[in-house]
Amino acid sequence: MLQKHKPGLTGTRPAASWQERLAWAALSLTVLIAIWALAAYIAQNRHGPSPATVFALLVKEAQNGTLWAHLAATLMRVAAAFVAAMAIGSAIGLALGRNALADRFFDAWLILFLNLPALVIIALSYVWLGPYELTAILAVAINKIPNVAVQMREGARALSRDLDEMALVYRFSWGKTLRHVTLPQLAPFFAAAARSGLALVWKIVLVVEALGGHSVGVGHQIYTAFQSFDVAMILAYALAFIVVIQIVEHGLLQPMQSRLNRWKR
Amino acid sequence: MTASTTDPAHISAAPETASGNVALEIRIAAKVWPPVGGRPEQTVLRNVTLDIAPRSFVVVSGPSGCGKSTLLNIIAGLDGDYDGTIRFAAADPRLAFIFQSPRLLPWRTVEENIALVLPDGDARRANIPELLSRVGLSGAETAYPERLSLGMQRRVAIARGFILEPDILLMDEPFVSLDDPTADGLRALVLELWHRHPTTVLFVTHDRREAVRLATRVVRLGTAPAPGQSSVIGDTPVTLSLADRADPLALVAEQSRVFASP
Repeated sequence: MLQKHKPGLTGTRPAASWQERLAWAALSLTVLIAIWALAAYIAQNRHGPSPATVFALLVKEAQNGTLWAHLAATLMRVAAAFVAAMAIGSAIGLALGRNALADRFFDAWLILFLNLPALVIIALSYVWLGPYELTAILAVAINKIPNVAVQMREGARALSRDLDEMALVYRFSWGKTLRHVTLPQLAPFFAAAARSGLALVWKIVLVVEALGGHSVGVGHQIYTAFQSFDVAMILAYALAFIVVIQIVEHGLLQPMQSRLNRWKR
Repeated sequence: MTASTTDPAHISAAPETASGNVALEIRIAAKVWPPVGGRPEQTVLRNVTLDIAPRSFVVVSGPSGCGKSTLLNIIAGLDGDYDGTIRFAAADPRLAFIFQSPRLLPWRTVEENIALVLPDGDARRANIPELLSRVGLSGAETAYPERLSLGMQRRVAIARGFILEPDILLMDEPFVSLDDPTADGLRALVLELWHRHPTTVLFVTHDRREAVRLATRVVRLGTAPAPGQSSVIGDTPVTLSLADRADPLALVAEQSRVFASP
């Protein structure tokens, strides 16, 4: 399934009905699997397993429970890192968006952290903090925080002065202003940061698990399979992972976003 | 009470006199915009002194950029950077402001937009359906503002202003960028609401016909004494009956009387 990320455009307005989109996705995936099967058949190589081999392995791993243990461990890390990154990144972004002086000063820091390679952050985290669970979560979160901060800063900068004045004249309480005036304006930026954030966290968490020497997790499992060149195992876990991402994306994030956008024309 | 200006020579007609108190006392010695980006410091308002009688409909008229909106922002407490005082008769005055753009919350329904200006649990919430039907928006309670026309959004903004039963109602050219019939319909609506719920109104416009159509008193801001700095250059009561206000000829005659050059 194709995921479109349009920076700046937060609304998802499907042109086709969901049945139609589902049909297209099914068709294109079927073709992809067919090409894969054909390639595996022609190659006849241990390092190019057929779709059937991979699916059989996936089912086996699911049945003996290994898959769930690794997926659960990875999902916990993703959830913790995601929540931490969104909370800390939002706080930083809002502070910078509202305070011009802080923004001018910390802008260079933000650019520095935005451009710091993920691998450097991960390596230094483990060197300085040691091989703990919290290190993994922190390493992933730090990779994501600058992105969230930048997007939320845009949101804070775009806050409407007109609506602020309206709330002031009509004497909205602090809580009322936050709930009805400020947060709804930030919601699209938050949703965009969350979606692009999750995409990034998914990818980095596996690298962290592989490098950090954790004994459980999808990243650990893929790394182990890589050491024995077990391509079928790598593909099986990759597939399981993609399915989980899509469930979170379509079952959680997209419905949340369309609920937030229901007032739009 | 005498509506006074600091420069009485510029009053073109005797200001309205009323025994009784003052709802709003405006004493602005100066409002200065600080220099920005190479533009020098600029004085917009100079010696604007006005006493606004309770339940009067005062239209502040003047050319674009003369400081009319600035005056309303100062009264509303949105702009505190001026030299002078604003005093209200009420100890804790309720203000409503109908802005140039409707300034509705697009993510809240029509009904929620109106209800939000009331304190939580306020009994006036029960008046919303009746008020909505009076502004011609029955059935639009659950609509989101962006799905409504600009004219309808302005009706919502008007209803939001009136639901509060404010002590002072400020209106800043609320009918610009509407077609003539729509704007005139809304003017009639505002007059009708004001007759039902009498309150002190300060209404800003550059449209002279609109001024005499609505006002019981027209205050003219202009730059006659000193270029670039506005002060009161005219202060005239308008005594048209409600029927006359719908009569184009009566409006034209009143307009030339009120806006006769000093």
